[in-house]
Amino acid sequence: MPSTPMSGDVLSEARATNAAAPILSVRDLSVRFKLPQGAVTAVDRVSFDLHRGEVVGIVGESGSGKSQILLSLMGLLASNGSATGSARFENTEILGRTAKELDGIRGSAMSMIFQDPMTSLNPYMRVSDQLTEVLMVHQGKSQREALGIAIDLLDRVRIPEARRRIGLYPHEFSGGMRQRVMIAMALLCRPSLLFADEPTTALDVTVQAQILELLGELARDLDAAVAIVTHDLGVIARLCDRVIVLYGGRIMEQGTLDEIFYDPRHPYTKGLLASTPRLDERTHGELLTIPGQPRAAMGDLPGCPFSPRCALRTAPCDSAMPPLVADAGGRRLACHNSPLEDRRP
Amino acid sequence: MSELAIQPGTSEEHGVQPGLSPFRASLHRFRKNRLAVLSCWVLAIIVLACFIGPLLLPTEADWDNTSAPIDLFSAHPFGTDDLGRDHLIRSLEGGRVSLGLGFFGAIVSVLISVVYGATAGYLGGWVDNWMMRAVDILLSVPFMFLVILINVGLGKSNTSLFVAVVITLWLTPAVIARGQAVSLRSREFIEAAKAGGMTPWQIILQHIAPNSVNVIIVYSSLLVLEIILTESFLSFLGIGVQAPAASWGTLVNDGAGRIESDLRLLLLPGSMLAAVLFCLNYITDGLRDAFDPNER
Amino acid sequence: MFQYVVRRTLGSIPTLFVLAAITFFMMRVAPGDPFSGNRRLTPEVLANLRRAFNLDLPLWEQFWRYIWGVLHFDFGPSIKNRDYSVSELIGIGFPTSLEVGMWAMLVAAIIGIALGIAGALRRNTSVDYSVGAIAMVGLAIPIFVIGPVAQSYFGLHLRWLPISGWGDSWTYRILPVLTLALPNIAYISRLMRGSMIEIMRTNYVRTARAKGLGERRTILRHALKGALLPVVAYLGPATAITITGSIVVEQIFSIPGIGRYFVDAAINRDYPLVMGVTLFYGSIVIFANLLTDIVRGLLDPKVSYE
Repeated sequence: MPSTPMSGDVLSEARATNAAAPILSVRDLSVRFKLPQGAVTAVDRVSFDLHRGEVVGIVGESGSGKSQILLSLMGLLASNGSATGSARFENTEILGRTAKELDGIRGSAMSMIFQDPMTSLNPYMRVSDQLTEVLMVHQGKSQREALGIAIDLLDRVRIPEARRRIGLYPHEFSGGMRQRVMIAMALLCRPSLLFADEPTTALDVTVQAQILELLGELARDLDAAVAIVTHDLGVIARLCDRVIVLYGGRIMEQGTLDEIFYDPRHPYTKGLLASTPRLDERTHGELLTIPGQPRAAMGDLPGCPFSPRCALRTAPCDSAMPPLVADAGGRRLACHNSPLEDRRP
Repeated sequence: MSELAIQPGTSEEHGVQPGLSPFRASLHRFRKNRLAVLSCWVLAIIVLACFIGPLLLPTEADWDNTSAPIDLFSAHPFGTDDLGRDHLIRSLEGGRVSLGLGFFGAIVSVLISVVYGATAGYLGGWVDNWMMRAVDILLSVPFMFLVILINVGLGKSNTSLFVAVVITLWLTPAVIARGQAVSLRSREFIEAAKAGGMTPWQIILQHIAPNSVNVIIVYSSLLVLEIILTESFLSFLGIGVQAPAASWGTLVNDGAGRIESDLRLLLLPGSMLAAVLFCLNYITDGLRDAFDPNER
Repeated sequence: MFQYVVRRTLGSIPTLFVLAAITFFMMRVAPGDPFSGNRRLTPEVLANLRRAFNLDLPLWEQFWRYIWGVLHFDFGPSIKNRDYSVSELIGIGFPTSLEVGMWAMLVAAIIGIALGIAGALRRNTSVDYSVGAIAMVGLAIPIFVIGPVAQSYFGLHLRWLPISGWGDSWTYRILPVLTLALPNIAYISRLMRGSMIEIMRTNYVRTARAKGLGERRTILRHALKGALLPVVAYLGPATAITITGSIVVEQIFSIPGIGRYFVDAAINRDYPLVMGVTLFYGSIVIFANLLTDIVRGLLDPKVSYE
């Protein structure tokens, strides 16, 4: 049973608080993969807006399709994947474009930081060449000009001795330094839209905090819209203004950071928070886990994908996906059994 | 890249029943490779034809029918040469020499290499060091030159050709077998065998060598191919199989010298040789995919 | 870097020594000598001949004399070609062999790499299958079958190219070079296809795409270098295959290179010539392996010469 998808009207109304038009507006984005065993839906009719100057976190467990959202917007899906729906970036449709058409904006107006800095930089090229080529291709800068900008940016991401180090190869940098290089690479053309796919997962815990801080600072300076995908609520808490909670390829709940962290409504969000250690709440003696496993065939079965693991499960949960409803403040929730209206005073 | 693009299939989805040994499972994967299975059949037919054909057909020269043309419904379907010898039978007989040498040589090479590699790998230390250094040095010489040297040195007989080919081609599989033995050496069942009082020699023969079989099986098929190719290469040059015996290599050489008069002399043994090599290539690829999925 | 080259060069000396030893003893342990088959020679003449070629000395002394000579690039006189020393014969034949061999390697590299890339980028299409078929033909049909067939078709049937021989015209080069290149085209295209497919799946190629560099630049600047590494590593074996193949190709096309002397020498048991050519070609292969490692190091920043 298909659910009623969010209509654009409800969304724009929901975002009334934010006066400016969104820079990216995604409607009914679905991503499907063809596998030998049949087609699998990884992302199922997801809609959201991104505005300049805000950082939105997309959180969910592995397999929830969160990375595929970003990859589909960048036109980087695996060859067996396809995306449907609409995504308008600065009022231009970017979904379903060829690689050639996307190359005008990829890496310049819209850029992406990847999960694993160890393998995401080309091991056979000097860092300088990997940085300058972006400026040379997109802005027609000369090698010399580009090198100057690249060195400045490496300084900004706090790589010591940037002038000397820029001539090194990636393997001569530490993991944290490589991720700084990745960040610099993404910011070279001062993008208005920045995606980050688990930007700190591969790094040491001590380095993670520094990278997040840096990322937040740079995003503010650029006044860019940032979408950050993670399974780590700590990252969300540190960096994001708004949170989208994803489960089984669908949006379960969406709200501001405070709404999601202090007033979670969806049983999945609650479970997610309860299973994360927090310093400010010493009341829980032990961490909770969400029983069960994610459904195998995401989005292809009727009903709410979370229902097999949900404590509040009732009969409708197995037959129909609950609609994603929004309140006046822009908060959204998809659950048969948790009311959205009943807000905290 | 994505959590979805690769979904590890369960064993049932690959058509493998639970409880199969890894070896049987590999065999099952091999049987699913249609090209490789077809190659096995074609190869089997050629082998049977070469070994049985000359027994059923008259092999002596037919002086009444020299230089007979191709006539599929005559006594000599592919014609005869200027001495009245039947082209088809000559090629089948040549194939018997080439194939026999290939299969027998591969068996001997594999036996030597497994025992040598397993010994070096299991004993380790300086024995391993010296045994493998010897192999390394021999491997750095272009092997065809070694074969020629040994063959010429031993007197250019058919036996010396066999010895030369075997001596040269056991090297690479020995390196592989050694690697396998090194990784097996510290496994529990070897410890158990040691504790049970088996001598190193018994352990090598009963535990190490048989457990290298997966890797070696892929290499064996490659060895058959290499030996047939090497033998025919040398025979073509006149330093391989010596008259009166003939192999595909010598027949191709005869044919190459007479392309102006009769192309069949070249094409018949040449295409039989090529067919066998095609089959062996596909079989090797199939075995590699089935038994050694990490390769390639 | 310099140290590495010196160390590797020194490291190849034991190999060459062992090769010389095997060569020498293999040829001497064998029953008979080059003159024993010739019944017309009287015992005195035979003894004189043997003395002239030092065949009457104890084996180990012959060996040391030989090694001493080799150190001075003196491989001794050829037994069958009386007027020439082995070094002279190699000197006469090598330029031609080198020309054919180098062209064959170059052609194999260019065609093999191009086919491999085409197959990888058009994976599972007719392009890919054709590349696979060409590779299979190159692997399965020996050059001593392809060579004569090509001679008969292009030389005799179509009359486009000379059947054999070696003239100044480039037309004499086409068939031998292509024949000699074929096995390496097969190996290189398979290698290149596999490594290109692997590289196109890496995260850093995805990064290059995310940077909007365009497919052309992504492939040429980001994917190619890494994908070429296995092919470069194959340079050593490719040299060995080319040298081996050249023996047959020179025979088929009557090219006056080293290969033909070698075959004659092997048939006639001309020891010094067989040993000289084996040592000479052995050192070329060893040198090619060394060169391979150096070039790999230049391409791959992660390799250090420690």
